[in-house]
Amino acid sequence: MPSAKSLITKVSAAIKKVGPMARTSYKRVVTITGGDALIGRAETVTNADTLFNPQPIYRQLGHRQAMYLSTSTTQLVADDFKFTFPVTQVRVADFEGANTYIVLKDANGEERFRILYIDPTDYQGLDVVISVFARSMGH
Amino acid sequence: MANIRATRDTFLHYLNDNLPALTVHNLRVDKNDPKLNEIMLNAINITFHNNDFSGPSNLSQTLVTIDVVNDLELNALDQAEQITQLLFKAAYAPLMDYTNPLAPVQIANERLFWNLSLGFKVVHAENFFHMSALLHIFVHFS
Repeated sequence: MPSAKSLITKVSAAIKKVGPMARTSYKRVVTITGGDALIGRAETVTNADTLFNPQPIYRQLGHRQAMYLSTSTTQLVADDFKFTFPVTQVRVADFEGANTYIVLKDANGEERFRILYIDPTDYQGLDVVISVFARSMGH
Repeated sequence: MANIRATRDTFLHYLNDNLPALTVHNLRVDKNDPKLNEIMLNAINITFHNNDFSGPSNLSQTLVTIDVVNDLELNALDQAEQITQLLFKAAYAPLMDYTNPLAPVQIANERLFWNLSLGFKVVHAENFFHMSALLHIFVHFS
């Protein structure tokens, strides 16, 4: 019977073998400061992007097609995605912040995802893999 | 045309500044803060709908929903009454320019006003009490 630790190592290796994906995944934390939040004036928005290392794997859950080729200024594939993260570097708490998003980037631009549901898989009391369901918000 | 934005800002602050015990939340689309577009519990939720722009010397108007959402029905009722009392105290407010929210400036000769009638309807919700009222806000600009 494998230990949770060995399972974590194997799952992490398996995710690494499946990758890398076409686009690079980042964790984005949006901070809004200053101004008047009630009316949305004079606020400063700061995006802090942190590269996931190791990278997760992901797949699109629906069948929506992009209306346009992805560029930094056009809508990408607005659909739900499932991201699978090894737990070697991330924890469930990494995704729980109200202002936390997942961003996919490539040479054509970026696509932001709102986190809908965090679904860790446990073994012997430890998370061995974290699935995050997220919905595209477009570029 | 910018007065419709000023109308929004002024109405939100009119409620927020005159009802300090209540939480006023403006439901609006903002990709940087998606939760702004969700109803807030234990708050007065304000949504602006139609924006009917009219030319100079005519009335422009915007349709507003006032949603009182609270854990307790009696609290919601009290809050709806406070809002009604405030809006019925005066049927208008001076239009303010909040471009610099730290130093709002009154827009000369312009004001927003509303009818002295506010019908709150109960919206069924399982886990909280929800009352909703529609209000037309008018603004005249020269």
